[in-house]
Amino acid sequence: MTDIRERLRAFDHLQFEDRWAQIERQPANSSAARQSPSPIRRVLTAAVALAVAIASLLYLSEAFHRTKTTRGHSPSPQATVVSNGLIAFSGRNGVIWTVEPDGRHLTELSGAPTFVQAIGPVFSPDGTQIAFYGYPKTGPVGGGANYDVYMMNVDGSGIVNLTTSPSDISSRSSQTTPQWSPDGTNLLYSGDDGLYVMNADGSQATKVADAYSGVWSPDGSRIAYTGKGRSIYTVGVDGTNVTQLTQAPTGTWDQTPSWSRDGSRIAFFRSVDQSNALYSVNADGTELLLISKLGEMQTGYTALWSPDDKTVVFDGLEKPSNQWDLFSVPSDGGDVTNLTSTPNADESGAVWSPDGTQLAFARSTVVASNVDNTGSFDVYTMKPDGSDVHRVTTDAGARGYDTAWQPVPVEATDAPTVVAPASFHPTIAAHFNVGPRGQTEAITTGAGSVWVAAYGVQGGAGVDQGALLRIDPATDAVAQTIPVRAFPSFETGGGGLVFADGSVWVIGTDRAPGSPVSQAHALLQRVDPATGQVQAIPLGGHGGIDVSANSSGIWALISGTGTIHAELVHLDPATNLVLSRTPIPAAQPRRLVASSDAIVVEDHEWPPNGVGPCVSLEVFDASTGVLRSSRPLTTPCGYGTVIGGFGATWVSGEGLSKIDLTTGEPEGVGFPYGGHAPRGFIVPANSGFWYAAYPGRNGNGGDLPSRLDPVTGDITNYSPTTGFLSLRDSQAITAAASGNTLWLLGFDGTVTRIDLRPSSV
Amino acid sequence: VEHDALVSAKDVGELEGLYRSHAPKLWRALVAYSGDPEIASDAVAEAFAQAIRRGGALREPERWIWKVAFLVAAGTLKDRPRELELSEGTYEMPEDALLMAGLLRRLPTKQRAAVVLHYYADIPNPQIAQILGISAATVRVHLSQGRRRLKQLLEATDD
Repeated sequence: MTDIRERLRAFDHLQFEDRWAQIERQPANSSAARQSPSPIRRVLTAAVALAVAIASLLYLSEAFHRTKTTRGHSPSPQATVVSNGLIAFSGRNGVIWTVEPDGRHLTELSGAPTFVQAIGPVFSPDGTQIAFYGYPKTGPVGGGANYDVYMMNVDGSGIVNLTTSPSDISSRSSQTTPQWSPDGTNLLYSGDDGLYVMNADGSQATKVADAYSGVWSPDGSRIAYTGKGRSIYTVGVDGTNVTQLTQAPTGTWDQTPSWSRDGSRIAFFRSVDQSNALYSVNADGTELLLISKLGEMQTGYTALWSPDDKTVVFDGLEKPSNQWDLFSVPSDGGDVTNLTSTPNADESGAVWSPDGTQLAFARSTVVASNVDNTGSFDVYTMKPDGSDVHRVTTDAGARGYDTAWQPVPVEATDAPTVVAPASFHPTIAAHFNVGPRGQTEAITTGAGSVWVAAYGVQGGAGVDQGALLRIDPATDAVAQTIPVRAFPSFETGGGGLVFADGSVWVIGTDRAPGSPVSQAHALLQRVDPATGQVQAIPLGGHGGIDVSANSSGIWALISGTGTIHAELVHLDPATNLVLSRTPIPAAQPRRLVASSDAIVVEDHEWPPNGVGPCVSLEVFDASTGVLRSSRPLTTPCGYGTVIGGFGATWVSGEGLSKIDLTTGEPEGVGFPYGGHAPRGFIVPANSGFWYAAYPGRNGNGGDLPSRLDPVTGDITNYSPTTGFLSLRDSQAITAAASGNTLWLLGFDGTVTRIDLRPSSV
Repeated sequence: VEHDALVSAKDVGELEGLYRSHAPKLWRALVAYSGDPEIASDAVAEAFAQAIRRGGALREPERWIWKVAFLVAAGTLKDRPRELELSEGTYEMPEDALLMAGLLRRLPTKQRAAVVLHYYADIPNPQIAQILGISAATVRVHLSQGRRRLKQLLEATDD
């Protein structure tokens, strides 16, 4: 007899033991606790390289002899259109200030006063964050100059130290002069023993060169620096593939390389004794060109290419007047023009405006002349030919070489742009436990940390209540446990947690222990990432489902009471007040994706006998929350995850389809997954949607990390690695991405950090 | 089909009702899936204990419990090599159930889960898809492969 259904009835005779009384009394996870966690694979990436003594001495000696530090490259030359935002500078009180280019809204960034010095601000290519370096008043070494690289939001909130580690504190090493990669995913910085590249969240710092300062190529694939023999080199972002571009003649020093906007040439200064010259060379080291002999003029800052690469602007200290001025010179050689011939003022530190029409610079009428240009400058702007000079600040106490100009990307209206696919070698960098099996619910990134919503963890709000775990990407461990009363349910597919407006937002259902369920309601909690302080924002209804954010505010999806199934709640993050509530004609709404174009709610319904549409999409206006459309999907049941990413909102079914946000209709079948659909998670990350497809243990050889290109739909399956077995073993339920890092949250309570950094091209 | 009913637990009392009506079937399905009554008992207890904690937050507690119980059981299974001796609890299993459990263990886990949920628990494919976190189309593939393999195994045993 081979009737399977019949044969399986054998199990009907098993005697089930009713354990309800125990279950009701026992806290969850009591049985799971005795299960041994899957082998924890932990790669220590923080291994501190021993500095080569001779090399270190060389850097230090060069550092002391430099007249100034190398400047950050001007903002991203990516194809996206940018406009000019705020100007940031290191000013009075050792803090970073921002100001509008017309002088309005001079702002001392909050939090910055905790620093003895906060300097070297650089804006992220998307203009939302500022990286800088400095050291705090409450430093571990008595306020000594233990510099670290920090990140903050442009309003000064969410300051995070990206480079401190215990070993770093004891060795008093310094990390300085961060520079953003053009795609905003990485930071290049100077350590005591060389140049490092790390993810923008501070994770995975990798030494790339024995050099003091360097600069990104416009495509982000390489870094130029002055290296051995005081010559110019380039190196891949992973520290491999070093190319020597120049051979500095004995006694000379090639310094401060600067990439042309098109990436084809590199300008640099060659100095010998008291004499200086500006050169350029092809990025492959050919065609050395003398742009201009500068004679006794001292230089120190990087020469900055104009947007059309036709001229180069630099600072110079003229002899014998001993005054700093700004100069420009045609990049193919020619006469040097003094842009600021002011007899009683120093000018320095020019940066191009993001739109390329102006220069910002620092001017001091107290002629400090060659004394490190500290503390007596104000910020000015002018046209690139030196005309139309405007004073932006008065008595700002600015440093002469720490000005940055915020790029404000103009929103793309057409197809999403994606960084050209590079060659990736995704690897598991760390795998660690953060909570009990089945009790970690959602994950997101923000303010330099990774955030996990969980419940019933030690240090949380109680055995039946929630906690927000802050994970330090530098240590791969839970750094802080913040009790929250309500926590999201992974029923919503890892939602219920978002980083927006400088805060972490967690939604869930709040009910006092022991109180009747009729008293349950949706509770939104706003957590300050710096202090861990929690503001509870009750939203009414019956329970909190998901939360998302766009430029018009915070959007919460809650289940309703009575005749209202569910509601979309719009909240003003400035006041935490509810702006509007829209009833949703939904059966079982699960996910909410807010973008600048629309709010999309994913709604599940189980049709009788499993026949018919299972998922509907409700689309709401992005600023008013008014319902635009409600439409069932034809996608098969068990599918239908809504995801935001790459300038659009998508639904993942048998393929990945862009949603037409006017009609609420997916645009066709979308990009097919080609056999292996995502399992557990699909997340927009570095240059594509990343997911894991599991062809099966006995199938095609194991687990495949896959990347779907959102422009072409091309799917790349990466070679199975033993490391990826733990993706399946940890039963990844959701994921978050930050820069080149993918963070997976497993049902088993683990977090897996996957490095997606492209390999050098 | 009983699983089509949208159950909305409003308090622990309702979860207790859900336990009385569903736990025996869920437990037996988990025994069939894991081959081990202890794994099944732990998974059922864990799923209900977690459901109690979540209180009103669960909007589809029945489906949620099935899903979590299978996830818990799968997590335990993967920590155990397939060749591992059966646990003590299996000695109390009737012979025909023990035989079926032995045959099912020779199926890959996903095929086994799909077969058990479909042929034993009578859960519609779209809901199996949700419990296992895979697409309904993939459920169909697992089912057809699992069915073919299990029939081969049964025929070989019966000969």
